Amino acid sequence: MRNRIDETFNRLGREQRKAFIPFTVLGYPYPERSLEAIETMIQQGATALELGLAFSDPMADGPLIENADKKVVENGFSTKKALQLVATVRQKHANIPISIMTYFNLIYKRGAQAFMRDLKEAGVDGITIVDLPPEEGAETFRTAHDFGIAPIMLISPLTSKERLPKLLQYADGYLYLVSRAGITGLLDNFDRSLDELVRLLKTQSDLPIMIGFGISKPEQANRMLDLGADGVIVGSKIIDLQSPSSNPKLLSNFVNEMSNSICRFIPEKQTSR
Amino acid sequence: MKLATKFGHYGGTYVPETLMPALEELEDRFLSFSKDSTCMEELSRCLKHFAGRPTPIYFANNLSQQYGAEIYLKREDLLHGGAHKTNNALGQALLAKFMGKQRLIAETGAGQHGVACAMAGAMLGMPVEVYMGQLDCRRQIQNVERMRLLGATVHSVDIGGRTLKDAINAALRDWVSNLDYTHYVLGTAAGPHPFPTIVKFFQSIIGKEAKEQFQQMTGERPDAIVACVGGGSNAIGIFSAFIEMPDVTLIGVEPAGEGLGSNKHGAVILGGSDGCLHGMISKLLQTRDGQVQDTHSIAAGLDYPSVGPEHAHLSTTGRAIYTAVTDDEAIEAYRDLSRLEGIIPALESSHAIAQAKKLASGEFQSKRILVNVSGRGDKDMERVIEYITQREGF
Ligand SMILES: Cc1ncc(COP(=O)(O)O)c(C=O)c1O
Repeated sequence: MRNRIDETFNRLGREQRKAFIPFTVLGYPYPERSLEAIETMIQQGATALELGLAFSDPMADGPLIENADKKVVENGFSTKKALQLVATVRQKHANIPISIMTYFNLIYKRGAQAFMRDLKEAGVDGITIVDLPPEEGAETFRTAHDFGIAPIMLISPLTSKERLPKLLQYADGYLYLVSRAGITGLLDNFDRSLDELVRLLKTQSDLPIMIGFGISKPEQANRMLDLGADGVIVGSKIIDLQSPSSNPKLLSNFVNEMSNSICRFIPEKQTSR
Repeated sequence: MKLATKFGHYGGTYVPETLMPALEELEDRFLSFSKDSTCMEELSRCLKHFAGRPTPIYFANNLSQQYGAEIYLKREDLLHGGAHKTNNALGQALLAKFMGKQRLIAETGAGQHGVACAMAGAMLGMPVEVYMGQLDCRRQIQNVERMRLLGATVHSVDIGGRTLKDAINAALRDWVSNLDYTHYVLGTAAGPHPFPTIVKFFQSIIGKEAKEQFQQMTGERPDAIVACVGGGSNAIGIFSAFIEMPDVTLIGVEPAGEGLGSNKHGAVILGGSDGCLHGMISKLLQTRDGQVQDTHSIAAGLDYPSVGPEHAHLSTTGRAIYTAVTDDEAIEAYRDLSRLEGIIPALESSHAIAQAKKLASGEFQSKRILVNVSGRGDKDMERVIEYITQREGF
């Protein structure tokens, strides 16, 4: 089965370049604007997309993403409509990796088989389930694999060496290392042990490492790359720039600035890979 | 994890990775705490001298005559703080201290759990921050003032339905961001493992006492035990001692709000389906897509779209029966108990009283019914008067 995430990271590896993955909530602030924003992000150089399926109670998210989720749910924007939006993006862009980020109840209610089939049909490549640890997720992750959807596992600064193999046994696509023990949001209180963690992850897995949570500036992104990350994920800042009162130009400029800064050529010797 | 994390297929640890190590630590420390005789003695001492345990069972003679069954009341309303919540708050505050945590956070619906945590925090010298939905802050203003007087900080949560569910979301976000020095004192027998098990452990004192007291008073067992169910802590507390006695019928009462046919209720076991919220698989009021629905109950403490996983399990196995009582019926029971017995029950507990009335006029006529009066109702005075004034116009 074709795997756009692997293809893309293999290419980046050969070109010695890093990845910039913007996150947005599907349907935010409303459907047409959401599609426009996704188009903008692709045009301005996003390596891949991380798209949120809104949940009414996103317990790992700070106020920006929480409010975006709330608004989308209140607008009655269903999972079906969200996946139609993804399919529209996929029709125009055959190669960009798309992963979904969501909470377990949406999957549990639909049933993992049906849910993963829906994702596959919409053209999705990976899934992050925020509140599904390996202890509870074996069956769901296996089902995802069966449908060719990569389980993208979240790894926390608090994840111990002993726990790591439990997570890695299901991981595919890339690893999503959260920059702090906390929630999403603009605060940049990054964990001080990140560099150790990146080093440890590299000894345990060949998957690319993306760092996310609290990154909203090129300097911060570059700090993460210096630690050895293969790229960064930016969410809250994107949502902030997508607020209905914000000028669409700002989003375009921001994504452009970030991708220019991140996706540049970085010579091998500077990274610890 | 060392303990079973599920009750049948309900429960579990459906949390972000960052919380998993914290839940493992909590379970580990809880097991040590519960086996440490010094800790258990300290807990007993606090429950007795600070909180006023044991609470009595009272035979409600007037109510019994009016309703047509022998009605006994387990008087958790007499516990310090005014509700059963103190059992758990004290227990978890001592556990937090044992774990070396310096700060307590909590969610609260009716404000009783927040008050209980504020009291425990004051007594143990630990700062307490309480999350409470903005709607609940308004309708339980007296408890907000009590928490503040007791030195706690109250955060009004202004998102979603602005009730208990939203307060739990806010508390979880705080916890995940401040794990190293903070203990989250979850107030009901819900949430991810080990919370349902920990809360049950601290609340099971209600059942232990009740079983013995009832035996001494009557020489018999109760025919039925009735308790209201929000997240399910007072109910699992009193049920726990009787689960192994199949001849004792266990009845949990959910809030039917404006009626089960309306979409303004919180009857989760009766009206919900299997779902995942706040770290657990349980019954959940949700849309077809799996979005959580807003609930309604006149009793803030019952206004929650899910329920503790053990109740979902007890309902599936048939060991306990779940019913629902409307706002109107709860108000009527609130007034009945006040007038007939001189006891003003919490609106939450009034749901259990109202259910006892129904049982007394049906299957349990002339039988022995033990009702858990989970709390006292001073906090609800204004709300009840407002409600009655609207309905009856006096
Ligand atoms: C007096 C009283 N009873 C019952 C409840 C419901 O909680 P639980 O179902 O955990 O007992 C509350 C919650 O605030 C309460 O204050």
